[in-house]
Amino acid sequence: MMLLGSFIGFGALLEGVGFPLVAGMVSTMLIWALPAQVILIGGVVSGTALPAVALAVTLSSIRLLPMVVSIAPYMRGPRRNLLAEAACAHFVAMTMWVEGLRLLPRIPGEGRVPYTLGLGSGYVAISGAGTLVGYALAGSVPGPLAAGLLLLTPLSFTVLMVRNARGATDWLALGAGLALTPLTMGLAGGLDLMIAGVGGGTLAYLVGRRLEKRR
Amino acid sequence: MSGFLALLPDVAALAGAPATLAAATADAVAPAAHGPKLQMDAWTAVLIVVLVGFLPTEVWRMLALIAGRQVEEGSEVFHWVKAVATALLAAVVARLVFAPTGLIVAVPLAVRLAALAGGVLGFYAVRRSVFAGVVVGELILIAAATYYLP
Repeated sequence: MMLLGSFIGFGALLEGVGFPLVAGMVSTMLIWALPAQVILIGGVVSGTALPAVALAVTLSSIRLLPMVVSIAPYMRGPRRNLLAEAACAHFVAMTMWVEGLRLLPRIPGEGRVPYTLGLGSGYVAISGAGTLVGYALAGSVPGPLAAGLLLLTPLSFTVLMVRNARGATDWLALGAGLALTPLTMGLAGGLDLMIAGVGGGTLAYLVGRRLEKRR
Repeated sequence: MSGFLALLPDVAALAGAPATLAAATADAVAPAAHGPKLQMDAWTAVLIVVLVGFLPTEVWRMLALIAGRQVEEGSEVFHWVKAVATALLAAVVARLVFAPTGLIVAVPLAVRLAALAGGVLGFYAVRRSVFAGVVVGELILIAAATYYLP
């Protein structure tokens, strides 16, 4: 549901700026990370030089590294298979990470790879459909609803992260990321996320693990 | 990493980009949406998506697989990386709320934050239902947006 809404928003953006639909669909299938897609389209449309756009996309996608590292242990079968792991890793983005951390630990080892691939392709299919619908509907959505679509991504992820938070470390990391961002936002592209993420996350780990071990 | 970041200003300057990359990315979308439409061949655009979007993103996923092969569930490194990933995601969310683009800019920050808080409260109020939380948050925002948008 949230995915559908977010990608309807993305489809509407494509139509609004005149970016070819085919390429937009390819970006949903291949990039499969909405912030990177929005940065790419925004950069290309504003006429920013492509190397600078590539750099901005690279910086925004660094966050996928800790996500993949922390979910990879749940996406492995009993036997290691690099190709299967790579296919699973491709589907890791915000939704897959949040939902995977909740769902995958309950799946027995041999079922985790097929489960991940199925869930991931399902998410990508929903998102592709959303991109199409958004492209088709763009312009006919009234203003307040369009604003509502834009809130869907941050709102749904906030609620999902609150649901998934267990233990002090999770809560501290969530709070640190939210609280540090207004302070670091003025810094140039991508650096703000790095400070709020790596700094806030490390702080949360140090304090949170100490609290968790005391109990 | 630090060496890579040090390259930033040079690359931006060489590319003739706006003063900061943040300006190039964050502000690009909203004004462009109302400006003249882009004239671009679909296959050129696909090529750009693959080279400028897909490769810079996928490289991190694959690097993570290689870097993370020794990381086991429940280890200390795992806990640290998970905390960093959580904080990063929270930071992405916070940036979408504190510095959004598009029509939602017309709604004051306090209302956007109230919609988030309402979403979390709705989630707890209705048997930990994510759907209920999202509905509550959206209702707050859309109601406010009808007031602030013409």
